Amino acid sequence: MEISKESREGFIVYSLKGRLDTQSSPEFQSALEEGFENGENKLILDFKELEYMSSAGLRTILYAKKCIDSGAETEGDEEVKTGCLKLINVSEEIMEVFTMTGFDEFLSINEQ
Amino acid sequence: MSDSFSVDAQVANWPFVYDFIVNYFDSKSIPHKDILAITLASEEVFANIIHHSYLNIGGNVEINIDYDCKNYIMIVKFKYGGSMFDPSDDYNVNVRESAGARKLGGLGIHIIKKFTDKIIYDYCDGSNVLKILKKVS
Repeated sequence: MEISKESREGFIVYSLKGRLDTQSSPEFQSALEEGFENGENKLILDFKELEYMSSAGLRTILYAKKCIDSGAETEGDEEVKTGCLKLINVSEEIMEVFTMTGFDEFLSINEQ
Repeated sequence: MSDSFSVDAQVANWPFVYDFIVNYFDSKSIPHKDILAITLASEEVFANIIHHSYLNIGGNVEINIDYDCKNYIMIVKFKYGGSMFDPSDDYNVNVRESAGARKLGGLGIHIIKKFTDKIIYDYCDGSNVLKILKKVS
């Protein structure tokens, strides 16, 4: 899998190409960890060229979601989220993996 | 005609298994969506063999692949040693949990069940034999 990273309008955009699977997901998680250590918490994952994703990919995305949500701040009684995670250009096949595992319930996927 | 492939149970070997499965079913002109489904289930089986049956120390996995063209059924059979691993056991995961309530991982068996039509498991002579079947849509 190829991972490219760029800054775009206040977001860090990771573009993934190839397969996010049991072999490649540790590399992606390392890239995310490095970003979180640098305070990057507004992420877009661009899946335009991602062909395949297994539960290893889901695990990494859940890791990212948990890291971002744990950075929420409290204002009075309200929790204010300072970060966000968006997935764009998700194919029908990969969307099925999100749907079957309930990830579509808490992720922002292909939203404008 | 079926095809076989033996491989050590290591994460680094998954791409070879992937190519073996995809190329075989591609040669049978099976729709991409169905190939993706059986490949996804196969990856979850292979990962469980690595981590749970062989406890990350490796071991042989024999993979036999077949296509029943009369009944339009894709078949992938795994034969491996190590601890018993039977994904056909009752196993339920709550897919309606929030991100915060979920633990990392644990979705592999759920995916095997959702992306296949039948799972047959047997343990004999010290070997696990696991067969997953998917009907072409």
